[in-house]
Amino acid sequence: MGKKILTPREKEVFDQLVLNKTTKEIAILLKISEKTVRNHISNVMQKLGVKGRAGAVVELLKLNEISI
Amino acid sequence: MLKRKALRKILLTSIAVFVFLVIYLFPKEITNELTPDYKIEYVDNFNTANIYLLDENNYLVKEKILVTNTELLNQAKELVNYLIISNSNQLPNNLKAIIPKGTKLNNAYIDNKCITLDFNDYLLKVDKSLEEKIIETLIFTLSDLDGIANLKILINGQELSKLPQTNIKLPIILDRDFGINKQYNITNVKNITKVTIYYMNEDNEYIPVTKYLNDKRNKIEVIVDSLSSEHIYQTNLISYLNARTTLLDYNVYKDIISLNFNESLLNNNDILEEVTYTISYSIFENYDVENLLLKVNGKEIKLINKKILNN
Repeated sequence: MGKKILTPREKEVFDQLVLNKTTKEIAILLKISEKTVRNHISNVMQKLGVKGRAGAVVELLKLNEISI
Repeated sequence: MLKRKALRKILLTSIAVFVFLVIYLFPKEITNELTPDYKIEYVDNFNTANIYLLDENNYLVKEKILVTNTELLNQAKELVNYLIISNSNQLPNNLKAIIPKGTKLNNAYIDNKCITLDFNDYLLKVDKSLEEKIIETLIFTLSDLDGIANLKILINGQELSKLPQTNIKLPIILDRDFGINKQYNITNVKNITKVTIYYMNEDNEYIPVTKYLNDKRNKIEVIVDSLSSEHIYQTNLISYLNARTTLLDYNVYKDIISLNFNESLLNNNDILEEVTYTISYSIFENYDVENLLLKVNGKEIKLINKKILNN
């Protein structure tokens, strides 16, 4: 089946990110700290080998891991 | 004296008879009856369908093709057959199929507007760059048929949930939301939108391009702006919409979208066919409406119906 690229929590974070939610808003929604939100985003960027959030979003859209 | 008169009469009569004979005996139009050495068959029972094939710039292009089947499932199978690379298929212009030779449809059935296609494992024996395009060509070709809205793809009975080379995840039910000829122009995470816009190529074929971009405007505005932009950076994507065209206002009401432009929409007091089609295809691709009304300075110019446009 293959290893999943995103953990369920990471997916939740990026699903909210593309809905124009800020880090703070995501933290409140998911009941986690802002630092945790930023960590999830950084982890995904590292996994995908990209430098910025936009780059991560592009790669995830290409892979159909998230959608608009 | 009498002899002279008689001679004159005889002469005149002879001339008249001669002229009479010339007119009637002169050969009529010479016709060479051609007898071709091949049998001419008259095809009187065919339909056309839309098919998405690869052009020389690696875009999937919308074209029309003759289909001999009239029943929906058989039409779908016939189109799938055209999408498989073959030496014998007659495809339009210099477009090509991309599904690998040797691909076979084990089974196909339609249930509630969803067509399930069960292929053998040759389906994905392609170059990595074409893997996603195979899914796009199947979705767009078959969902253009009236009666099919989405697809399920199986490989030897197993659901295809991920493309093996590109790792692209596939939803179980595929529809046009998947996009086609995708382009990504995202610079930040705010206001990301997805719009499918129909351009043309140099062979006057229509190319749908799904664009992901940062834009908080309504999709209608993005479509018109994209088609009227002076700078279409890819030279193999063309739009005939005048760069001075401005969308003055628009209205979305029930089953109809109404677009009101300035006079630059017109060319010799009419709208170019290419402009009508690129705007119409783009609008119908992004909005679930059946009719599009084009106006210039408030005056109604053209009403386009989606079903008639696609036929």
